[in-house]
Amino acid sequence: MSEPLELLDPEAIAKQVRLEVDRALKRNIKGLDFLVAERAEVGHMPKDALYRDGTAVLYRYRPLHGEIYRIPLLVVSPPSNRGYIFDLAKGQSFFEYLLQQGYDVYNLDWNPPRRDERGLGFDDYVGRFIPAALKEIEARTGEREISLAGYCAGGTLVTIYAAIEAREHLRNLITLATPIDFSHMHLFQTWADKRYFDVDLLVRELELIPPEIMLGAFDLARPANRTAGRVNLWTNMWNDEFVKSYRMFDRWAAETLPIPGHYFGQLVKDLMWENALTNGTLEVCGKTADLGRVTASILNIVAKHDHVVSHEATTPLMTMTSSTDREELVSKGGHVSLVAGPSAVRRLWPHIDEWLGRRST
Amino acid sequence: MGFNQGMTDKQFNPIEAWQEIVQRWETELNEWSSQITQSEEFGALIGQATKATVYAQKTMAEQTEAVLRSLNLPSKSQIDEISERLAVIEDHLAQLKLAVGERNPAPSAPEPRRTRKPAARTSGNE
Repeated sequence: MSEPLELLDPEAIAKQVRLEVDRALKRNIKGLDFLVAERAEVGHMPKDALYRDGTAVLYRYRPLHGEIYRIPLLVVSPPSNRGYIFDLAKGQSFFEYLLQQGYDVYNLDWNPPRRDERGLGFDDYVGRFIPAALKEIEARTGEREISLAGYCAGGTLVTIYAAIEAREHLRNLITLATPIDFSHMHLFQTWADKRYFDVDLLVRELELIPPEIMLGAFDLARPANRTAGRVNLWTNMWNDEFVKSYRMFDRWAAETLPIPGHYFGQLVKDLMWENALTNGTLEVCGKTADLGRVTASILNIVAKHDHVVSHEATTPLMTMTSSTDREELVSKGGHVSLVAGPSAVRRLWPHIDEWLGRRST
Repeated sequence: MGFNQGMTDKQFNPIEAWQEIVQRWETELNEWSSQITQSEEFGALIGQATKATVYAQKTMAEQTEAVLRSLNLPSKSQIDEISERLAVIEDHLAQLKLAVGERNPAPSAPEPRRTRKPAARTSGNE
């Protein structure tokens, strides 16, 4: 039973008051620091650029051990986001974790596309950039076999790559919060309702689709998040770790990238309206993407409270592919918590290591 | 309920109670918004609003461009053009650097051996 009398314990009350006064002072001092602080530092693991083609950049993260797993791992970033989400800070970095476990880690990342890249689409992302990155990795390592991973739309791209022809060199496919069945992308289905959403107008007039267009949809779905986030920041202003983490995530969200108009048009028309990847009608590089062609081992990772990509949107990876080695993992937390966040460090990433290590020799 | 429950706990923590209130407000507002954003009317409204925003931005950009030109000042499209050209030069420089690096590789740490095996696990991670 509870002990309400302790409420009146003068010692406890004094201790609580001292703590709150101390935190209030720290909030004011650190709050001023926060307002005048420069951009949060992100990305700390040493890396080398190996390939660049306009918006596409391939990085190799320098291995930390003298002995690494045979099969390299290529992680594809979503075209609308900076890849440093995988390497936020020491102790909060997915790549740091993988390097510590002995993986040879590559990241296909994206610079903001130039106006003359407005015509880039699936043919380029899937048929040009991913194969070029794989060719570069093979030339460096001598290894033809590869593990491919993708987060959010990056996962969709690697899945399409695996589905456009039989890829015997693709050993493992790791998808993190990856939409495949777009009929379950409820927020975006309403936002880009075929009857009212003039996607051609946007593509024609804007050429590069600014991030505000996409971020607006997220804000409408979760209107309280921004305000609640700031209130929580103020409450925790005394806590250096919280503030540091907040600033890094805030910078990442603020640096959402524009995307090429043609690619945006394909996302809306082919995937959102036609659900073409699930229906088996998506044409990329003159080939039909067929999930049945995917035979690699699959680890499908879903966030339990993901308001962007629902669990159902990822299920074709478990039901429509031909892989005989499939595993699904539902992790606590939201969309971003899979690739950055304390619970990922403690629970999810060790599981990924346990799964991938056995399949990387 | 949660607030009163907090009162009967060993120590009442006003900050925790405040955070609880904020969290509840966040959840409720988000849930309310989710219901609205799933309606067809919302889709229609967003479709129209997006279209109107694009047209308004276009008109504003054209008018601003005309004013800046008449004042002999650089417009956004001209700055964008310069920025695009710089990006192309930067891109080419990066490609040249990579090509030169391939021909004259700098001495680097030896490549690690690709023979690692997963450590034997004593207990499952499930």
